[in-house]
Amino acid sequence: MRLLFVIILQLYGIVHTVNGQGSKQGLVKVLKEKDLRLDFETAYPSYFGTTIQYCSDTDEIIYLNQITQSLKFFDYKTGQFKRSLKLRMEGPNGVGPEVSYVHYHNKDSLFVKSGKRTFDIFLLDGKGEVVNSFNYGGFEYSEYLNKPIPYTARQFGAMVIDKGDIILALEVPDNKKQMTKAPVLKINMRTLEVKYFSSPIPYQGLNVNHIPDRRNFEFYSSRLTLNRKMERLFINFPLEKELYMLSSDNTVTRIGLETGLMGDFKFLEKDRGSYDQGDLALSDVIFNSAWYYGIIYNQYNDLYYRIGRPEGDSGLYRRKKSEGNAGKIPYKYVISIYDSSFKLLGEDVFTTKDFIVHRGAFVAPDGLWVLQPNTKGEDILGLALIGLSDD
Amino acid sequence: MTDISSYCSKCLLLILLCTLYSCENTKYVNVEDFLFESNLKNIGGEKILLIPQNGCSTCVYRSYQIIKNHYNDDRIRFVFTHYSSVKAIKIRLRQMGFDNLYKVGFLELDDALGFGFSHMFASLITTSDSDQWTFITMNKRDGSDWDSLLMYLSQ
Repeated sequence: MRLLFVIILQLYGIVHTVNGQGSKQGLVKVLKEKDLRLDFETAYPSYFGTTIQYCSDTDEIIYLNQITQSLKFFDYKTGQFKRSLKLRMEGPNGVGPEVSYVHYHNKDSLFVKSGKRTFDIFLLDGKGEVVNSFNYGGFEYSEYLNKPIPYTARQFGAMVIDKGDIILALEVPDNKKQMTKAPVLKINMRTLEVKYFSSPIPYQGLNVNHIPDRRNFEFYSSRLTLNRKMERLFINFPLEKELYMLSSDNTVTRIGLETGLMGDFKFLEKDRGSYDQGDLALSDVIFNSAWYYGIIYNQYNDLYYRIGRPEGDSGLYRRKKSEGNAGKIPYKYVISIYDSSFKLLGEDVFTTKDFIVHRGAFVAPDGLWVLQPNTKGEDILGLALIGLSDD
Repeated sequence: MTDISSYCSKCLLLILLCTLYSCENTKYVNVEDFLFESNLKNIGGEKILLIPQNGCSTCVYRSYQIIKNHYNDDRIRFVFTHYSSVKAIKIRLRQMGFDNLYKVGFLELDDALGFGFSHMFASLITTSDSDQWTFITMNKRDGSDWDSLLMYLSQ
């Protein structure tokens, strides 16, 4: 049965990758809007975004306020602010000074990733008290000479909880020496064993020295999504057109996904070390290469959303740059929606004037919600529901 | 003698190149327009650090380190640009213990670009009695521009 499923997926992948320059554009729309009412100490997230997630057991939305290090809960239906949970930095219930990611599992189990002193994940109960903690590495670089450093993405897709395991998607290393293991790490919550996946190892055909450096984390952040029903884990790498499917028996399948809107990746012509920070050839690649943010599974409708940044117009960028106006070029996103067999149902291009996916995105019973630009006033966090139009 | 002459020539060439480089890197901003758009009061201080909040992360980190350690230094003020939320910046500054924001301004991205500031890198304005202030973009690869600022503030 599993073999059949894999074959069908691969066939879809091959067929749609080869033939797919389809006409599914225009079928993805903003279906609905929702406003979250922010309290006095909560504001629109920074450029790096923050965790925002649907809490299925309480019908709430949780939002990580990284400035005050607190969790804010909102009523899902009305958007009204309900309560705040302050995360303590120190003491027996301290989670460290720099919380970068929260995964809401249920009202008594919140996984909090803190990254200031060491690589730790804290399991908190509903009162914010530490129930358990899991260390998955130290900060000595020498520990990571031949394996990926366990840096993780923000916003979404960095962590999934699968039975008794925490699974983390890590940054792809920027050198071949560290690419001996997959940038996916499993922490067994019972035994505390920390183990890297052996595959997939990304960027095999690429010269990684021709990718802008790790400060441009967009080129390195991998993201996961879990299809619990099928017991399959999917991993997205920014500079890989294909998606990787990991089965429970550790087999890895590459899945080609149709898209007619993403364009191509761009790479540096020389090793990244030979470029100055303000070099036009470097910033052209940073701003105009295509890359994939991630994949999100919608368990309510059995759909997959793949979010990407399409290839930009280098000519336009260079012209605007010479005029000093490159900052006015809006970021673009491609959102592609696939069914459970990875058949493309629809896709479209949006800009940061429509919504800002890289600041926050989550799935709820209605579909995929993403942050809107900060145009509704400083005390409102606007959300847009993205889905397939009925047209 | 020839050696000394050759050495002097090289030094002169180096000075000339450095002068040319600094001239090329130095730009000007109209004082009245800048103060009006950034809503910054002209209360003195020799330096103004312009911080693109959504710009290069290292620049933002360094800027906040300077705010943290030198906020009360009368020689420097701060203007934010390329931000998503003024409220977020004010909450962050309050969290850092700075309730009085008299030395902080906010400049819309369009205005900043109009003045010639970078949306990616911090800029350092040097004030004077002139109606045009000079500024440099803080994007040197070796970070020496940030080192110079820190050295200036530590004196």
